[in-house]
Amino acid sequence: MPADDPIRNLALAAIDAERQIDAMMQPVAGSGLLAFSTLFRYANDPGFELSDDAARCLAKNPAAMADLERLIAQSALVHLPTLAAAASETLTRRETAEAIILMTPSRADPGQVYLSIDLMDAEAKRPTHLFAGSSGVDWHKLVLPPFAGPRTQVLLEAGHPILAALGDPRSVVYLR
Amino acid sequence: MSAPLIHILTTDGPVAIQRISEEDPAVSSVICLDGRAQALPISPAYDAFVRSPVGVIERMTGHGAYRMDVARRIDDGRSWQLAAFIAHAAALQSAPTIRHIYASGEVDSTLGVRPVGHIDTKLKALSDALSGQEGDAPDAIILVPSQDTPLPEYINGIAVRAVQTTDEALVLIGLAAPDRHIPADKPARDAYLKKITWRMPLILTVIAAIVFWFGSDLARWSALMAQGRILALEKDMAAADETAIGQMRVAVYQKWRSFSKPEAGTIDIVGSLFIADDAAGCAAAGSLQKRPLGTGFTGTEAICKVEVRAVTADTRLQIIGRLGYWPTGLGVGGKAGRVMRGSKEATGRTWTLEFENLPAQGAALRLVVIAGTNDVRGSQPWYQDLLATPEDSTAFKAAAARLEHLGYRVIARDWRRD
Repeated sequence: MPADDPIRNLALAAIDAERQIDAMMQPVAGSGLLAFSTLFRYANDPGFELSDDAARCLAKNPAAMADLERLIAQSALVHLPTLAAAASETLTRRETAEAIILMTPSRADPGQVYLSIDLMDAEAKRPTHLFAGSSGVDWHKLVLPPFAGPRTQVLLEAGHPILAALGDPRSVVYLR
Repeated sequence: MSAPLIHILTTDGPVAIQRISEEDPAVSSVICLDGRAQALPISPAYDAFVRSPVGVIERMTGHGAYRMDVARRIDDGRSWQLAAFIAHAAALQSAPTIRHIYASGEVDSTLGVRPVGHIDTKLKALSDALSGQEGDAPDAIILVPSQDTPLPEYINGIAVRAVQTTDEALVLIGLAAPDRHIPADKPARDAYLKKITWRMPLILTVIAAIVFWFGSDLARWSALMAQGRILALEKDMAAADETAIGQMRVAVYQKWRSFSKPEAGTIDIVGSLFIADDAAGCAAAGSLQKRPLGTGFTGTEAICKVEVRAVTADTRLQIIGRLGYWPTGLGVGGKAGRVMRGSKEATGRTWTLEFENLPAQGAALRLVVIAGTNDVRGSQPWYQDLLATPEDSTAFKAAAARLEHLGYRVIARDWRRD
């Protein structure tokens, strides 16, 4: 087969591309890099959590964090942007045209907080998980219980990191 | 008395309801596991059970969001509803007379208790769970829905009672039926009110004519009845009965009063004997065994105490009565050894008789319950015959008739040690 045969060149290019994808999808031992497949799964699989090592690696890697942010933002069902509130203010309610997120302290147990999400469109697709965080900082993920009608609700310990993230006006929230 | 311990019967054994707390109405009601921040998957069903207009709890309590903590997981079904309803009702009232309540049943929007599955398995699981504990629970009850298949009378000494409504269940544990029900058929009621409004002038005219015709008799008799002075009322009516027009007025008044007479079956009477192996055992209250009262006792044990309750779900009714103790037999000697008035409670009356001289063979008890829409005060001479004579005797029937003419229902129960 001649060296300039177009079929041969196409086959070699395909083999090369596959090797590159394989390399990109595998973590590089000791390099502090995260496999793209890990980030992809973390963003899309509600039940998948990052290992402690992967979370540390993510925190040290701005490029990976940017990749994760893009993955989270992609195809999110609801986006709640940062708010122009005083930095010291802790939010208990976030609202857009698509959804209302409410954090209500429990009367029965002051150490616990109800996080409820109401969708404005009763016919809208139901999210299965929530991400909250600030650009370039930690992202927090919460798996949501099944919706009952347009609402879902989860009871959390008051110190849960997702509550701190949701209460921070500088944070962004995505429902996926 | 401390709060009752209410348990949900499940196929894996009883699950205790640990607490019920009001929550912010902005949140949905939740069932949590053992005080933790873990809402069980059935929480949406509990929220629907609580929140009006579909839910029944907000109709009863006026509040729309609660947190209920349970000791173990409950995964599905609706059989937790009866126990949850009782727990909410108990939280609104003073402590019920029954302390340990085991319940299973679905509650519908009219507060009927619907059958649920696996009752046999749940009772077996309860029996297994209680097997390591004391065999007898004198202040416990098991409540299940009425069903076609027969139920055991007792599980580990605890009475099993089938109920068709939540009111029945509440009465059995010594709680009053809730009075904040919003009728489900409110539109129908509104239509009825609209229908009778235009007839109101005619109704008022008829009432005015009746009032004029009765004159002062009606006012006087009604006042005596309202004051509970039944003996005085009886004498006044006897005086009026001497004239022809008076006889008519008495007959009309008695007929009118008969509309207030409680239906048969409105009053539920339950009683217990507390027994010990011997007389010395009666001193140790904690070791007493509880047995249903029934109509007689043939055992050899010492009978230390008797407790009888007459209760009703009809909150309009007053229940009074006497419990007479005849040490040597009903009516023997002409005077009862003890006569108890009983203590009034929210849903009826309880008579508790602790024997100083333990009942021997031939000893008898006679309970007379009088139920009506008005209390009875002052002298009540009819008790002499009601407590001492057989139910089929002329004297008993005559005494009962005096009260029944005035709109009361008289019920007697006998017990005897054979």
